[in-house]
Amino acid sequence: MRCSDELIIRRLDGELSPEGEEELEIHLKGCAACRKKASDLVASAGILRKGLLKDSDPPETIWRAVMEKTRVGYARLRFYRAAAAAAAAALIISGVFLSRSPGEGYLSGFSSLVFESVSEEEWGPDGALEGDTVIDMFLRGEL
Amino acid sequence: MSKYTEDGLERVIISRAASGDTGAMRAVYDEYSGFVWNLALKFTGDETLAEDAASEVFVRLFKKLGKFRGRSSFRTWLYRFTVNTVINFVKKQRRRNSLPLKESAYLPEEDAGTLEERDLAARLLGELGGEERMILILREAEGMSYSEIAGVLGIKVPAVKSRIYRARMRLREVYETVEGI
Repeated sequence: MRCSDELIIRRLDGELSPEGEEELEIHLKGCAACRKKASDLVASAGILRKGLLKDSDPPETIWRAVMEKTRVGYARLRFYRAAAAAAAAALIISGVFLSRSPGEGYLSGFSSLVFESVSEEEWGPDGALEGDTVIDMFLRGEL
Repeated sequence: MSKYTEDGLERVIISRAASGDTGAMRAVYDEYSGFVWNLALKFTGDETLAEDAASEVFVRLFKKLGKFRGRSSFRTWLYRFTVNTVINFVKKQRRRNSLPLKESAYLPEEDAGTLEERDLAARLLGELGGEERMILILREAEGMSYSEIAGVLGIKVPAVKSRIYRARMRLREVYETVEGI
């Protein structure tokens, strides 16, 4: 049998057949280099097993950190949603002001596009909506 | 089987945790924080870094939980998620702070071998690359079989064998160097 690192490692992992084990044993008796290699492999694996064996309970600080970061994440998400809604509302309100004098100003086309679904009767005498605000309608999905 | 994993309860808890239910998130945490923490601690060899890595795992986990499709068991999926997150977290930290793996940083538990053995284990692991270190921790410290490791790493068993082979040979080289000092 030739020198084989693979066989030495397979033995270490308990994957060698009894015949293979016997064959390797015979080889190791006559090969000092492989014997040293096998002994070092067993020793280094043993160090890891002994040095890393014991588990411990996780400190509670981990959970606190997770909750803190997760809450910040959710708060940020809520903030972004609120900011997006505010931006949309601001866009609509600016459209209301610009639509007071239809036909005048370069955004009048845009404002009439945004409010085309609002009928003439719904507009008050000064161009503002009577009753519900535009934001109320927007939030109800009517715009 | 724990109360948590029986009769599909886990699936319900996971789905609730994914939608931000704090009680369900805590149940997932209680079930798996031991594994996550100990793996992070063994991998980093540093309590502070391990705490940061473990909290990173759970913060990311709760964000991504909705992506769990149930193709593998949740445990395997979470183990893989933990392994990848911990390796990447430590890589990032090292790039930022050039942190070495500390010696004598493992918890001073009475049964975990002598201080000298723990130092030596940390020293040997510190000389290995991240993936070599992780695969040996899974094999030697977590006691996982080749097929369990294959599931966790998302690779085939022959690939696990060949990676373990390389990691063991590398560990032996480091051991020879350390032993010779």
